[in-house]
Amino acid sequence: MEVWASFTLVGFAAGFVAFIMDFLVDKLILLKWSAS
Amino acid sequence: MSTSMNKALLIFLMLSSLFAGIASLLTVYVGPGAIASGTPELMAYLNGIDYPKFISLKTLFVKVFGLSLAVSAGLCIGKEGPLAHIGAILGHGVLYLPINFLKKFRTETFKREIACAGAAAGVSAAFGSPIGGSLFIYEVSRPSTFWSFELMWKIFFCSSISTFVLNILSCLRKGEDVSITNAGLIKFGSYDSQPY
Repeated sequence: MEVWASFTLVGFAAGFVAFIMDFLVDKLILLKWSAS
Repeated sequence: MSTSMNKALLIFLMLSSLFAGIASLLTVYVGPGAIASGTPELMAYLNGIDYPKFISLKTLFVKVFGLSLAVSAGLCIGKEGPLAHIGAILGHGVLYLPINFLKKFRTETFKREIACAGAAAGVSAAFGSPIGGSLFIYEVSRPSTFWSFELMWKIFFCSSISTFVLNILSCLRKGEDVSITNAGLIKFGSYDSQPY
């Protein structure tokens, strides 16, 4: 059970970091286009 | 071209150069472990080679922020492939969270297993495909000796969780109803059925 819990934590972390990166890229591209 | 167009182009180029410059400086001076895509290094790591600075917090930081900046700069790279490396570091990082039951998992074999799971979760989140992520890491780590059939299920479960989490967060961010159709960072558009 604990093994599955650790794998679940990794899944959550990876999904969250992928979301953060997507969010960052969107904001930076928007900043670049709106400034120019 | 008009003057305003020239000015806009200049600002665009300057911002792109600035983003690319910051990404390069971060990679060279803060986290040299983040150089290259990460997948060949991951293969080496999973097969027992101690690749220097491959797993570290600095590398994670540089990989996340440097890659976001480099993609925003318009360089010919994607954020999807290096998510395998990011996932592997996250797998290791989770083992060092201050949770009691995780302490017994800090063995070299389990570290490699959970690095596999993290890498698969990263690829799955990027492409919205848990099966694809699981098969990708199977292909990457197949020559290694720690692989077992039970691990495949755990990795698939982990990949599904990451795809699901990204899906829900993306839906919430866009203010849409939560559905399972928003998976992945790459969108190829919708496919309409064609009459034959």
